[in-house]
Amino acid sequence: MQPDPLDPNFAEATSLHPAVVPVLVCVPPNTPTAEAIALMSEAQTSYVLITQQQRPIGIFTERDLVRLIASSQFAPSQPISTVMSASVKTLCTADIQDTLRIFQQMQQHQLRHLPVVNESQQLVGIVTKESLRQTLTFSTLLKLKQVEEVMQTEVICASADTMVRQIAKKMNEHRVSCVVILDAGDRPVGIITEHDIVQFQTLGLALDQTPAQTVMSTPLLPIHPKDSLWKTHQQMNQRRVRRFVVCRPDGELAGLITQSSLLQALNPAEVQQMIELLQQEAEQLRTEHQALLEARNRELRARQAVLTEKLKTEQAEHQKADDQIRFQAGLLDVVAQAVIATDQAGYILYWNRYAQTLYGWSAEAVMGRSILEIMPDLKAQAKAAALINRLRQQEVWSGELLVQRQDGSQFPAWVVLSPTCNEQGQVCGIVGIADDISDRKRLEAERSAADTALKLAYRKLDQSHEALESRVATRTAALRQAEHRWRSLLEEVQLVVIGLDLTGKVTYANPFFLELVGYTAEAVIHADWVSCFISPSERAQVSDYFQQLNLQREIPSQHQNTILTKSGKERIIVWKNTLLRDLQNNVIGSMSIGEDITERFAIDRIKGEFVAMVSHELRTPLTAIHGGVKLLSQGIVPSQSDQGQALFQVVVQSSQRLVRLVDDILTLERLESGEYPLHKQFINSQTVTRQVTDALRVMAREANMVIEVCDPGIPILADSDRITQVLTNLLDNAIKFSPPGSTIHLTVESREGQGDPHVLFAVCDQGKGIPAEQQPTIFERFVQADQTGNREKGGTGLGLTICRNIVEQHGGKIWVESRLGEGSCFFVTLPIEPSKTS
Amino acid sequence: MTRQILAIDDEEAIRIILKASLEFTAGWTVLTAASGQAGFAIAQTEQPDAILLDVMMPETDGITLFHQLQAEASTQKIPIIFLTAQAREVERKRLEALGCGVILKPFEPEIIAQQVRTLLDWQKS
Repeated sequence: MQPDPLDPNFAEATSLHPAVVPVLVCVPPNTPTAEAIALMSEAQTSYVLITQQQRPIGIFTERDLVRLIASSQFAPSQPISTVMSASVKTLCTADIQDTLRIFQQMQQHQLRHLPVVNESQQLVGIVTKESLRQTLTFSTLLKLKQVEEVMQTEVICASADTMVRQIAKKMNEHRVSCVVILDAGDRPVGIITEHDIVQFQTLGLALDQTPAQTVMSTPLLPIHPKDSLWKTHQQMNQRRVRRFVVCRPDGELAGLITQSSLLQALNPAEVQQMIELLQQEAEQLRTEHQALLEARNRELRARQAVLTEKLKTEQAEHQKADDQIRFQAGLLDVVAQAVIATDQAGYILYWNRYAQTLYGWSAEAVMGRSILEIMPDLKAQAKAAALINRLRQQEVWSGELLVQRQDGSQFPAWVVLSPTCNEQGQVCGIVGIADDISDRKRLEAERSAADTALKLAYRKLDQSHEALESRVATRTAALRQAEHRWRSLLEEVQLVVIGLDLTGKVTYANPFFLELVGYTAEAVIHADWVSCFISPSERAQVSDYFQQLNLQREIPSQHQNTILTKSGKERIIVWKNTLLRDLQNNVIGSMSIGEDITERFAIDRIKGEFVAMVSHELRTPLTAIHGGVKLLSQGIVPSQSDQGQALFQVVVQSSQRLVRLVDDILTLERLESGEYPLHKQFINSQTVTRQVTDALRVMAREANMVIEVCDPGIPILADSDRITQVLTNLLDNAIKFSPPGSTIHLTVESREGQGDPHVLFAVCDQGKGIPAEQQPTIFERFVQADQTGNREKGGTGLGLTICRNIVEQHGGKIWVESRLGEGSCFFVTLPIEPSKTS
Repeated sequence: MTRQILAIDDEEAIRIILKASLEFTAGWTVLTAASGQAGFAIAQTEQPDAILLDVMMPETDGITLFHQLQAEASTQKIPIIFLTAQAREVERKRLEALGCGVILKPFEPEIIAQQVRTLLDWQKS
């Protein structure tokens, strides 16, 4: 049942206080309880007032119903008077003051309903916590406060499967108006209130069989501890509920906020604090306002001061402008140019002092007259008139005009004319500035003449310059050609070319040199010649030579020295040196051209040594023959004496040696020059070995030696005589240098396994051996391992050289393997030609 | 007084000719050696009046032996005459620069004793 605004009770009630609302459910004492509850449910109220003659005699609330249900004492047909609270506390209309006082009275008596009666104790309305809460207008205060500040934290809870009657029992037991339903994880999922119990009862629910989860109010409206009371208040209004479960953001139960909680927030101390706060705010605002006002005043005063100052400045500027005008007028008078101003028709308005001097007319004489009047003739007047017209079109003109003085004489003037405009930009006059340019004209004429002469001179200069350039070009081309010729000569010549500066640094090195020494040009250029390229033993000498050369002393232009290559090898160079000079004939360095004579030098040395050797080898037997023959023939030594006989023997042996030597030299010479062609034919190796052993067997026997031959008889392609000569020589040596009683082995075998197939001859003795360091050289001319004994044994020193020559001509090899004290083996290989081996 | 001459030459034929020449023409006693080292030993023990020394010998050549003799106190005063088959002027000058006499091969056997006397400034003996 909604309050009807037209109900006289309601009008009376609300006029007392907004919280006093009409009583919606009133029943007489004999009304059955079930009926009373149905009315309560229908009117959505939390109470039923029991009245008699409009006087309240009892009250039955939701809580009372819960109590009955909890104790299972509910009897529907029982009169309400038997279960109601009989001692009803009322509020007299005369005692009604403010909302807070009413709330305090309700709290004091722990009441939720306060019936209001007039002086005659007749019921006029009721105050409930809901009606009280709805009057709350302290929105600021509610906005400032948070739910967590006033919420109840002691909350009665039950699990979702609890039966409704059990819930009612809990409510009754703890005297609370609601129970919060929790899920299995102890999170609040719903709520059951006293009001709900009333509804269930009305609907006839089986309270013992109905679990909470089927009837609870769910889901819960999310009210958080940090929400404002104002929001809560508004939500209560909107949803028409009396409490909210407060949950933390994570869904945990935080507490319960009820209408009482909201009303408690309005206790007087709080309000007083709020008022003080507001007073402080008001005071602060007043102060701020005062400050603003003062600031504004200050600003206005400052602005006034600025304006005053500006005014003063403007006045000063006006004064200054006036002064400036006066000053400029004065200037125009002292300027050394005629300044004339006219109106737009050409009538003179201003005529400065210099104009008087230039034209001869005073200002007074011309002021107001037309400018055309001072033109010398009609032609000039026509031109001036045309100019005035042009200037009216706002053009500026400058040029030369012929002008007449007062005395009739004329002069050329340089005139600049410009229009003057009024404030609207319209032409209102003309200002002309004129200058006598007689002198300038004369100077110009003179300069023009000079220019012409100068141009002529320039032209002549240009011509000769061109001729010179052409000559230079021709000469440069010739020089380039010569330079190119020289450079290609230097680059290609098979001679060393080196340029040095005066400090001995390399300034040029040709490719032949670079190739010879193995350095790059970058490494050579700027390197110090003597320290980098000259053999240490010759450095001082070469350094001295170049010093002398650079000082232009008398020294031979040719010299020879040894240079070092990158790999450390020495090259012998014979140099021809020339000084380099600059255009002033100063010496700036030297250019050396050198020939690499290393090979030639080596050949010369070998030749020299050979000649010396041959000379020695020839002279020795000659000396013996010559001496022996002379001593005998002159009878100095009697021929029959022992010494005489000895001399005879010396002569004979020396003669034989001489013959052998000459033979060997000739043989070698012929072999080397190719005059001895080989007559190769297929022979059996045994043919050769037999020939050799036959020839030497006697000699061996005399020396008490044995020659053992092992020759399977291998076919070879060779010059039989020559190979016989080689083997004879080797066997002869073996006999000569072996001790008596020893055996000499001559073996022949075929080698086909390794490398090219060949026949290997070996001559092995049991002599004293050849030192390792001599083994590589014993095949050279006149080199003998055992030189001391060789002469006596009749060797010429050419035998092994001849052997090597013959073997190499056959395409074979010869070498020695030897150990000191054990003997030597000489090996000779001859190739078996593949086509013949098969 | 009979002079004693040491002839050092690796060629036996030359040693025989030298010995015969000097003994038969001057009557000097001639000792011979076939190598430089043998000659050095004889020079030290026999103290000959002069040494005829072949230049071109294997192992210890004439020049080396000359320096060896000069370095040894007992032999440094013995006058030395080089025998050389090198006919070149340069070679002769090189040997003379050592302060020694030089006789070229082939030599004349009948006058070699006289050559030695002249070179060593000996009176005929």
